[in-house]
Amino acid sequence: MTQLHLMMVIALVCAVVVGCSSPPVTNGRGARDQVADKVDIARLGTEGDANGTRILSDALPPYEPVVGLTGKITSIGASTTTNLVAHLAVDFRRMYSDVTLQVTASPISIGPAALLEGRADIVPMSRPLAPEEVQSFTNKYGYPPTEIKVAADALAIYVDKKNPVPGLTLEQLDGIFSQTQHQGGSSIETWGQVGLTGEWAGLPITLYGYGPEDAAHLIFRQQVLHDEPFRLSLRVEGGGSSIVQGVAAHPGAIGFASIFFNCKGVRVVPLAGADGGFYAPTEQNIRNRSYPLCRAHYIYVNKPPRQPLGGPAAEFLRFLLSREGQQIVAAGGNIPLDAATAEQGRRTLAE
Amino acid sequence: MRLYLRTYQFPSLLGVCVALLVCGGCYTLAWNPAKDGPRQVGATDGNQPIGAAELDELTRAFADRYVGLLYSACDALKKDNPDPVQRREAQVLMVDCATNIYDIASNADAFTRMLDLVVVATLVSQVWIDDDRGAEVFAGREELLIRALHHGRVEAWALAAQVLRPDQIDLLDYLLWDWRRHNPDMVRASFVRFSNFAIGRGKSANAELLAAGGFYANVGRQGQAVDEARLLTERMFYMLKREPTLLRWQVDTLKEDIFNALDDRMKQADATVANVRATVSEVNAVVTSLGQTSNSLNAMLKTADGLIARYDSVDRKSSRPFDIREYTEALKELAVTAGKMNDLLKSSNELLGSSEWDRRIQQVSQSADERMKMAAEQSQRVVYEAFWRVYAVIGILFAMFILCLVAVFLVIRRLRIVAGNASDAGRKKVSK
Repeated sequence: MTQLHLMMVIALVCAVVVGCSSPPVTNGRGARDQVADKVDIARLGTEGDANGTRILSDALPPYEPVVGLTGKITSIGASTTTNLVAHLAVDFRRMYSDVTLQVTASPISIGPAALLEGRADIVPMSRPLAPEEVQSFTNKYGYPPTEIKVAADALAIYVDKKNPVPGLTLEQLDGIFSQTQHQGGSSIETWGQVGLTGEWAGLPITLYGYGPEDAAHLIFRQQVLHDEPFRLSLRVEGGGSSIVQGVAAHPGAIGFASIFFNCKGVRVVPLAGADGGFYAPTEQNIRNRSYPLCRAHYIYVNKPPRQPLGGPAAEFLRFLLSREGQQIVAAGGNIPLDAATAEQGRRTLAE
Repeated sequence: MRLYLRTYQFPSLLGVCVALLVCGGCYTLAWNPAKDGPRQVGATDGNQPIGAAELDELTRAFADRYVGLLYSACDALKKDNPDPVQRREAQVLMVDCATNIYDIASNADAFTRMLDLVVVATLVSQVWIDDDRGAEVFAGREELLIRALHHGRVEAWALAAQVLRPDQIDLLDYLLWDWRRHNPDMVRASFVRFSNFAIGRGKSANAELLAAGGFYANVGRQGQAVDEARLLTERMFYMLKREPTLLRWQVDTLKEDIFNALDDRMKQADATVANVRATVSEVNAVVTSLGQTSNSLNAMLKTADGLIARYDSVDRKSSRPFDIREYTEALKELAVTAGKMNDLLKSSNELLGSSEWDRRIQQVSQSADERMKMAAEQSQRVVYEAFWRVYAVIGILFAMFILCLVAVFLVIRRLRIVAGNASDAGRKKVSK
């Protein structure tokens, strides 16, 4: 009898507890529907953040190969952008075995001359053509060379991984790298002058960068130093990885190189943008140009106005600006274009 | 004449020899292989061509310097380092790099040698500096190694700059970085050669470009034109001279491995000893507890001994003299007590044997049974009462809960009606 009572009590308690734990039904939808919504939203959020590149590439149209393409493409241009072209050339050759693709890296000034002389069909460049280079071309052909943006990039400012500097303004960078401090700031030679304290305060700043023949040197000089000369103490390195390693090996060092060369031994310093906020060179900040030291990789072609570019060179560029092409750009460690810029490039080729 | 010869022959011969040596030395200093030799194959920073022989010397000199740098750094890392893992890492790094660098330096083609040296110096520095392996492995001791590897890399690229154009240097830099990005787990990078890039990229445009462009082709052709036998002999001597050092370092590594293995064994032995110690301490504890038991036993025995001793120590000689009256009194008292006991026993036997005793016993039993039955009934009632009260409480709670739900539902419905009316009023206003 007592056992029967006990069982009845337990059953009643269970019923009450279960009743209390069920949430009240609202809007005619059950708890299962709400949980399902949460899962979907969470998954979408993660995809959007982690694989932004993939989603962006999906916004681009897929490449549609043409039949019976033959011919030859000669590419002569700056080595940095040529690396990018070489990555794409491997896949392009697989699609079009009858197309000969000759890719040659050269000093940056050789490409425009080759385009002018008709020795190159496409000219990869890591900087825009200089006004005098455009003028020479225009003088010969009566129209300027056509510029197509093929990838985004940024010059990152690297410091030692333990360096606590939170961010720098372009004026401070001018004070660090420039001989003349044209932006109006003072000469900065120690880390204490940019606000670091303790053991960092007295540490002298060692400068690393590219030589004058490199596009990154020219861009940095234009955008940061206002075309004024670098300090003589600038340690010139042959490549971006050498610059980054120089910074990693010297605690007081600072250097500039493409964001492509970022590694564990260094830290990338956020820079003050036009609105005064500090921005790291992330893909998003580079695309929306919040980060101040953005640049692009270009390909120049000889295309008369109102005549669509034809032949294998045009097909190669269409491939480069397609979803697959930009995915190869991203896989190579470069920053792909946003959909609008890629579309603009495709329109330029077709006009 | 003979005297003249004896007097002047030796100094004259000596003078001729000195003159010849001086002239030969001056000619040697004046001779510029880059300018006069047929093998002008490369360009220095100042656009001065360098010869294959010069590149030969430069690469081998670099190889020696690089190994020297690494030896100094690794030796400093091993010195007074109590951590066997760090010691072994330093030793393996030194031996791996030295073996590969000397292997490259004894290669036949000077240009391939230069490229391979750049590849090894760069990749090794990338692993230990850029990828932060130095800090991970040597935890605070890595500074010297980082400096040495960076210095080696800078020298390697300075060597490359004497042969390659700036754009080719840029390309090589990119190739190396790209390879590293795709092979982040390759820690023993000193085994990588330039040919790996061409193979890995499927004869890509970059590899073809680097193989065909610039001064590479010239150097390659010139290298083939040089006397193969002489080069082979030079390479053989170069390698043979360095082989004992390499062998010694390999032996050091082996020793280090053996010591590490011994260390492991010693650690195992230490663990065994620790186990034995633990067992011994357990045994000691048991022995201690046994000691306590034996102590208590001892104490008991001592007590017994004490008693015995006290019994033995009774001074019989000092006691009173025997008195017969004391015994007579005691016997009288004993007799009285025995009589009383007999009376008590007699009355008890009489009581137990009587019928009255049985009746009383039955009465007591009945009374006890009734009391027990009553107590059981009362306890049953109490239990029933408690259960009914619990039912009532749960029922009330449940009813209150349902009432609460109904109230919430009614309030929500009321609010919706009010909101609906308000929106209808708003729409009407708008329509008006």
